[in-house]
Amino acid sequence: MKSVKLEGYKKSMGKFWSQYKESKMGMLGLAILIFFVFISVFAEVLAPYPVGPKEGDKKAILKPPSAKYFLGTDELGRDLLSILLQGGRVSLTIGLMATLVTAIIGTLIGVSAGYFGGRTEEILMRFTDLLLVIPGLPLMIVLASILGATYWNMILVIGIRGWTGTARVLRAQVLSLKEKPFIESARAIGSSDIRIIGRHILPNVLPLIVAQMVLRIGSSILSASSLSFLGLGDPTHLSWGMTLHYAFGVGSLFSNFYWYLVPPGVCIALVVLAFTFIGYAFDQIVNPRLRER
Amino acid sequence: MVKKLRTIGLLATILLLMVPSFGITVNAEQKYEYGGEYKMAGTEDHQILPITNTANYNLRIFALMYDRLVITDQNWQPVPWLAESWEFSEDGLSVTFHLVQNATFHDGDPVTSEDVKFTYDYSLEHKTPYVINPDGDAIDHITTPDPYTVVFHLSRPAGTSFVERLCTRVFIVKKSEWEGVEDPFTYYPGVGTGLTGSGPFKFVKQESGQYLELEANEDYWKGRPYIDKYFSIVIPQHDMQLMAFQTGELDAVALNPTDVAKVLGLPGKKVFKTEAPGFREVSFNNRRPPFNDVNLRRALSYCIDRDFLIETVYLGFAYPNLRHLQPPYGDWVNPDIPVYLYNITKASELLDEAGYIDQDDDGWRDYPDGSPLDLTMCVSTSDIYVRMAEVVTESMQEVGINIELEAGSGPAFWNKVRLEFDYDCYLGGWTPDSSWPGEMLSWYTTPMAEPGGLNRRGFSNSTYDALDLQAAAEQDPEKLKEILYEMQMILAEQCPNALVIRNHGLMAVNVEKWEGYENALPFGPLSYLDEIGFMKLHLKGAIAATQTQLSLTAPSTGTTDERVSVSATMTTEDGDPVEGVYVDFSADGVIFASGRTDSSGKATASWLPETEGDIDFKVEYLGSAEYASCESETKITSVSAPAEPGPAEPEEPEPTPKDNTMLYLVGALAVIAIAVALYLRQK
Amino acid sequence: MGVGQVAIKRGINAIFLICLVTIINFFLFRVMPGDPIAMMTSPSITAEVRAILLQKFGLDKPLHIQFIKYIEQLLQGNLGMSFVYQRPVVDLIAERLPNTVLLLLSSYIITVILSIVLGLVAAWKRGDKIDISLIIFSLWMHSMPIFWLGGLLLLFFSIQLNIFPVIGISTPWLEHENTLSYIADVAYHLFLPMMTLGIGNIGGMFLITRNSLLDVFSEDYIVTAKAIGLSSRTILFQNVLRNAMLPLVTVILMRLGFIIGGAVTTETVFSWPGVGLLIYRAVMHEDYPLLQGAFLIITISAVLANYVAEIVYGYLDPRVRYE
Repeated sequence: MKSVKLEGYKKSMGKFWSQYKESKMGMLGLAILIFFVFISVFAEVLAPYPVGPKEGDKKAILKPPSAKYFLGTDELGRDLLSILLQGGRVSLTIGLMATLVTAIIGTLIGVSAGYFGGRTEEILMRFTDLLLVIPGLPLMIVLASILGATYWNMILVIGIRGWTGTARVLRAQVLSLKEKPFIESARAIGSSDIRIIGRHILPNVLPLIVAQMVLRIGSSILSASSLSFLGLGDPTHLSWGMTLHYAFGVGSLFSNFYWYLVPPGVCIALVVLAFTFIGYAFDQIVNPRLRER
Repeated sequence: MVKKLRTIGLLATILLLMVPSFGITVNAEQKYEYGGEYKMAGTEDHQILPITNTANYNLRIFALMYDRLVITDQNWQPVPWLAESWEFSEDGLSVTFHLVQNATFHDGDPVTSEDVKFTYDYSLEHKTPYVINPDGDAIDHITTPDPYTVVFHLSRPAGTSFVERLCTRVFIVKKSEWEGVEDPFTYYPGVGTGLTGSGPFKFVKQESGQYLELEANEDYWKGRPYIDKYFSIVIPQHDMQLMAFQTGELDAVALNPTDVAKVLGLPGKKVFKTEAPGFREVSFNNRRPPFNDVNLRRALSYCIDRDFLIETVYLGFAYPNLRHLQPPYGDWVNPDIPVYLYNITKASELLDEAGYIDQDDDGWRDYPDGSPLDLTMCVSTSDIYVRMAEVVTESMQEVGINIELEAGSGPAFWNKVRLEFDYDCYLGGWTPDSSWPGEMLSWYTTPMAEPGGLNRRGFSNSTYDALDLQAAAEQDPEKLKEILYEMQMILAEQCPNALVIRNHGLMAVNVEKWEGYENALPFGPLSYLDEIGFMKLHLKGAIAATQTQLSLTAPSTGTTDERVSVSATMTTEDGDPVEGVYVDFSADGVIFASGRTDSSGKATASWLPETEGDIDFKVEYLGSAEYASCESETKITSVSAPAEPGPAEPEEPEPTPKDNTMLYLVGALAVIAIAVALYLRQK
Repeated sequence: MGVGQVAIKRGINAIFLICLVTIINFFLFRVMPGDPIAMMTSPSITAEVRAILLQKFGLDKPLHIQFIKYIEQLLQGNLGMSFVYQRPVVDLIAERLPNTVLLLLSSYIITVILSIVLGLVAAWKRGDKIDISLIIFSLWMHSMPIFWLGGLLLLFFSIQLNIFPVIGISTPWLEHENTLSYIADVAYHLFLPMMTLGIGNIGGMFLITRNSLLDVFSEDYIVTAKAIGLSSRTILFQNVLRNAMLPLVTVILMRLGFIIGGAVTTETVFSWPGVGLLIYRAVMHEDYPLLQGAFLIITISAVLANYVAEIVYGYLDPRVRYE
């Protein structure tokens, strides 16, 4: 029995992978992502200089790129390359955590709406529509400034903003799943709702959830960088967005500290691009509607 | 028209050269041409109604549009303004002000004692911030025996603080304009109305979000300012302000330390720096453990690495703040109080002595009774404060204190810090409002420790409170000094807070088009409350032929704790001393003082060096209608640190890193991996 | 259902949304943790003043009474008093809303034009190098933080090359003799922020345009037309555009509400005096009455914009129109 399962396991993974491999965008995105994840995880090893607040070189404040400091220095004399390496970890983590929050909320709402239908569905979908209409960044700004701009609040605030898309897609999927025979038979046996959802529905929508998550990570990272730029980021966690905030704050435009201004933005853009590519490829494979095209 | 003005100007100039003192008459005689539009930037709209003002930001506009009974001049000394003179009664329970008789509002009506009485009564009734502070509530009632005399009857004796602290902050408004307004906090007269002051400038218009325009009050009772118009242009981004300054769209701009290097390289611009009062501090919460223990407070006061902060965060443009009163308070500073220089070894020793040792071997110090010591430092999310807090917490960690940094914002955070006082220590700062030396010391009294008050530290000492009340009632400067010295000693021994640094005021100005700048205390030329500066400012006229020269004397060595005195002598080509002009002293290119030459052409200034190294001193004269510009040669002073016990290596082992981000990242990746695996399993 | 019915049905929906938004707006600012007085006034006031203000603003009354008062004030057009500006919030917003609308609409026009043109080129040359470069270009634009793009453009064009001005919406001290010179001045200041938002928002719209155009291209009648030998340009203008128009217009209209968020960061970078900048200042100074008022207005505007889009779409969709 187990060996059959394992065989099936390998086969499905192989099938997914061979489909994925065909997508040039997907592969490119994956490559970029792996690169950034690698440097984030090994940031301490790779970083040429430490980035503690007192580790700066007093003689080298806001200096342009040189042989010694590959990407120049910031206003405390710290090596910008090291800061970006560490920042990658923070930015990626924030993006991932916020997307997790989104996924959880979106799944809860989407599945409930799709499965229970009727009044529940109507209320939940109305609520989703409402959130869809409220402009995203202003809502996040308002929440962040009321709750206070800390690391976890930012994750919460970004996560709260994004579940609408996930909820909608999931609801549609659950609606179509509901009609499938195995659900009917499960009900006929007398399985409770929770059991049906847990055993049959969730596993089937999981790929969709993952695809949605991948699609949303990019926008989570962008939202985080916007919030940080506006001053609503947590200064004790130096993400790429916060680095940009300091870059603007220190007068990079006037004094042309281009090394401070350009690289963090490039990093953000590359990572978001990578996730966009991956998400696109994922969506092509996993989304049943697109499959028919 | 212009020619006529020029002739008049020339005649007046000749006349004026015979008048030795500039004094309080300012522009009684016209020395220069009228004209020009001076533009400065603001980060947002100015609020133009003085009664409800809550921000220092608006003070510049108030000072230009309204008058006060007493103002501070460019040496930060109180001088009579609307009040020509005043006297205290014998028992100190009343103060009588005699107003000038020729002051008028912008609509022509005279400024009378009725307006003064109304302004103070109204402010007290509506509890205007800064008026109801310790002096305002001493006012029992105000009488006006005649149109130009105002008598304040007090419920307790008043001292010099009444005039210096209170009267320099109340802007006199027109009674007939405000007496019908029931609620000033919701009063909005609409653009262009209800804005009658008596000051050197008149309101023209305000385009919200764009600019505010003022024009010179031609009938100003002290003589009209030379400039025609003043603009405050709304430019929220600091970079944009600098750009506009560079292109000449702005005539003056406040600088951050990182901007100075580039601005010094721009032609036709000069940078001024001043010794600003006010400080950044680590506020200890004296109300609860562990900071209710004076020994702990003293020990941690040795953990502030000011030199590092000054060199990196402020690029040298700040002072180590070692005493609760410091320059520019001059003589009021008690020189004998203990100071706490950066010394990790000493901090460790004191902590050991006080019983804070590591009892459970986790690498961190604990309370004397063995319970673990976990502290948090709160700080606002403002960039500079965060940087400072990072450095300070790291020093404390080196000494073995388990302290974390919490940067916060939003109402919940401020609630915690300002109202509930639920914090261990907090890095913040404050700037005094007036020149009265006791003001900064009065922020440590018990009444101020109420929620919302300025004594967030919760320092409470009955001797100190009594001294503060005495100071507020003291009229004799010598006795006041004694009282203040004693207060400073108490603070220095009790360490309610750890003082960090004081930053310079930095201002860049356009000298190609304008002249008449004078480095004004405390915040620099044309800063808040410098209406005298604005009145002296004028367009640069033709530079005259009389050639001049400047010679500079500066010592060859100095130390970082003592002021360096420099002096300059200005003479004409023929060797005659030039008297009565302002020359600018600069250190490393940045002007730190303006001095007036005396009858032998000599002017002096002094500067407190911030860091070790060589300072290039120079003095220059920017030129005027009478004398050509000139500058001296550069003199170098080598500054070294005074002998002090060196900071020792940390004794405690390196603390484990607190950053848990790695954990979260790996955790999140793991969750994703599991999800993907589950999906594949289903396929 | 005809257009009229769409208007009514979606109208009711819109009103319902506005009500929900108002309720949320109220609770957001009252129920959140923190000091309610700090939300309404400057933080540096004494305990006495605090007690007085607490009573004056009715914050010592129960929540539902506060809510009723809030609604009352709203209906009178009173959004409270900004304590930083010391002026009614309504006035501040009314002054700046036109600037934001100008920026958003002009940049949106740029986005739409660019998306259509580039989408056409990409779809026509499908699979070609041009197509792929355009896709990557639009995805890159989509991935970039817009304020970063703005900052770079500012650095390059305004500061390094000195082509464009740096401040706000118009040169303040310039007395304009006629409206024309004023418009020119505004346009001069508008150019960079407009281009930033315009190009930055291309991303998704370009792809959707391209995809829907591809759909149309693969339709049988187009293939036939090509086979018959009709010139490319004829095919293009006569058939493709006309048939692609409906989905295109749908996209254009539906996305209108989403671009509002981008205004905040762009206005901040360029100091453009609109509602977005107002929000930024409100956040910086913790001026909650202003923040609350601006947020409400922005949200209601988005709902209304959506509503208008739905009606226009209903009008254009032949299935709806010819009912």
